[in-house]
Amino acid sequence: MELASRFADFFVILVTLLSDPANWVVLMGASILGIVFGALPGLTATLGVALLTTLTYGMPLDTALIALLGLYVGAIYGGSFPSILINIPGTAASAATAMDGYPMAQRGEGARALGLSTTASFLGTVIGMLCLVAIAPIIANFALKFTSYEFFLLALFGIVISGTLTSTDLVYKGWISGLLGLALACIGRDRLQFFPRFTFDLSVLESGIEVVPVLIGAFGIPQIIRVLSDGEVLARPKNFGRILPELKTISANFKHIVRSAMIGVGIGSVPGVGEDIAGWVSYGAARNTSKHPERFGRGEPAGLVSSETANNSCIGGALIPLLTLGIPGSPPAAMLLGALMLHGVNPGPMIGFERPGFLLEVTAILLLASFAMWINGMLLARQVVRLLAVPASIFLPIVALMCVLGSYALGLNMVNLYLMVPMGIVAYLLVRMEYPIAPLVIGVILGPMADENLRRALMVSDGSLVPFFTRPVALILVTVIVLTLLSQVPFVRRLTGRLIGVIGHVFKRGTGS
Amino acid sequence: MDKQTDQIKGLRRKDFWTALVLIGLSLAMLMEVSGYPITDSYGGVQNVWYVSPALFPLLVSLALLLLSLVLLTKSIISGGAREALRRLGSANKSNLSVEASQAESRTRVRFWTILTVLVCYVYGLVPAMDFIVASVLFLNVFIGNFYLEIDRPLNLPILILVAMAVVGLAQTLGWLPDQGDLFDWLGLVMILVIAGYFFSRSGERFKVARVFTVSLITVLLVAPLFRFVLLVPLPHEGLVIGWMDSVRYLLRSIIG
Repeated sequence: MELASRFADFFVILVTLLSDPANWVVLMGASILGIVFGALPGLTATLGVALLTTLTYGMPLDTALIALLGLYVGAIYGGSFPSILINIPGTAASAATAMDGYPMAQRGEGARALGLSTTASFLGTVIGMLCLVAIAPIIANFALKFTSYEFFLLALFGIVISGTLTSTDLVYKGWISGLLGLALACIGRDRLQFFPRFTFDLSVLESGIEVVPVLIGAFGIPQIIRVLSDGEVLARPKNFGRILPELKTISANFKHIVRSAMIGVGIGSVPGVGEDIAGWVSYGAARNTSKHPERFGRGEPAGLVSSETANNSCIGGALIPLLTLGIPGSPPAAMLLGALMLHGVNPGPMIGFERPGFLLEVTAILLLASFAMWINGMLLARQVVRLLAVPASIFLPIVALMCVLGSYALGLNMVNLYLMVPMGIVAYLLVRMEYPIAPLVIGVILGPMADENLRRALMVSDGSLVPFFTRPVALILVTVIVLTLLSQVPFVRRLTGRLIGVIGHVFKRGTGS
Repeated sequence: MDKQTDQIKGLRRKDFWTALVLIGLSLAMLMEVSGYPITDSYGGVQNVWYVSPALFPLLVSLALLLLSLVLLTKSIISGGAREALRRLGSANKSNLSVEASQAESRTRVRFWTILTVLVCYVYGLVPAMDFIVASVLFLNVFIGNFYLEIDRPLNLPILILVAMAVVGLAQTLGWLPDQGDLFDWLGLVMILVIAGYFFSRSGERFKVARVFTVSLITVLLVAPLFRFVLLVPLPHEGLVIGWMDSVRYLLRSIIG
């Protein structure tokens, strides 16, 4: 009964959204813009959402969400265009798509690959959306019982896990990046006692560092510097035929789609770990479970479908912790959190009470966004591909202009702009030395949450750490965090390796005798 | 494989310097935090250690110090530190092939070009010059340098941009009296000078024209969008935005 009434609510919201023609225009426009952002190598979904946030400032909340989610979904899908056509992923999310997409295009099956990617992305987004609407209320209900202990640990968990999983070099580089984010978050007056920290008597720093300029700097500037200074010249895409939905191949790969979508949702819901990892993991899973693993990497549709389903279903997954706990599941979701806060929405367990129907609204918008993406993909792919001929040396300076204007316009504050440039340069240097940027951003966002809740928790327990180990959820989180940290200590690694060896040996002897 | 191990060696070498910087940063943070009230009263409240505003930054800086020490140790054990110090001492900094070092120096030139252009624009031009003039100037120099592949570090457009930025910065800091519209006019003239320079340097007239039109059209689309549609006041509104305002009022009076 409850399900039926929620379904009815969902349709009412959907119809209300669609009854405003302005929403139609914004939806299609944002979706196309997203596909363009995704398709142009050097521009990412996160940067797209960051820059669009500036433009949505004056819009009503639902229209702003349509714009942002439309762009997010479009950008994750759009990344597959250059992956397939010229073997260069438009965004990191589509890196795994290139493995089989490019060989298909070389065989002359470019249109087929694009059609598959469009339908797979659509299905991925829809399955992610279904998971969001099914799982989020359960988590939100559960999270209502969370207190400061759990929230502090969740923030810490988010930083540790995103640091661990996004590092390409040494794992603790991810943690260092997260700590730098937390340090940045300390700047300004603290929220419990209003004591000025790291403000160096500058009044402009008292309100702390704003998240959006940090994000624009950290994601925009390194991309601009990297792509332009490497001076990479892109290949010209081959011509391709008409794009069709490829429903036959899709239904033949149905099990890959369902599995990849689940992987995408799961990985998406892990804080700070985003679409790129979802794509790779589901690609790997598809290859390992396939009857013909040798065909992967040579133009196997199953590989392409898996990666594209997973990276789009990741969006729904990333929104689960965002809406229920206030913890972003992926870098673009981090940006979305910044945008929501600008519009006066504070995601977290209380959102169901503060804004009833918000979850359903987001779900409805996600559904609209996936339809818009699919329609645009089918009809406009050819035009978007033409954009690949625009050299990076023309569009990246324009992006630089947008970064400057965007970081200023949000707060009409020159300080944000002055901070954005050094932030971007530091981020570029960190990227060059293979420090991941996602944990830094997650750190900036979760810093205040970690700080406040740690001190609140200790206040409640009069400085005792015991409740961290007696509350069940807290204990689980402590265990996971400690195990993750310990797994990187060489001594512990050797010890566990030896232990496993000994157990295996004993087990063998036991079964052998 | 060789390339990969080379890459890892390079990373460990850089880690040595990063670790030193991070250790310095965390020590500076610790020094700053040590001045915060831990148990003494602030704002009339008697504090206890666990509510102190120093607690969280203290934990963060200690953790950062610990990880930087781990990074330093790793760099020393892997030989990266020795290599870093050796390179510091020897004049011949790299053993790369001629081609690779040429590519590296080109990347470096481009990196510094981007940095100069961006810093000049943000700190020098945006606060002091009409936003539209400043942005067209910026895009012209930025796109021109990269699209026309001018790989010379000190070319006329960049020098003009730097000079204009210095004047702008001096005005913002109050070292120079505010030049008002004169500075914007100078900016407009410099845009033409830069366009002329690109025409004289590059054989491909079409490409130069493209640089100029793309810069102009982008700014003329974006700036009015923010100023008149989203109602965002631009950082510095001078000559051109003043003209646009007059046109707007004129149109309004005609339409009624």
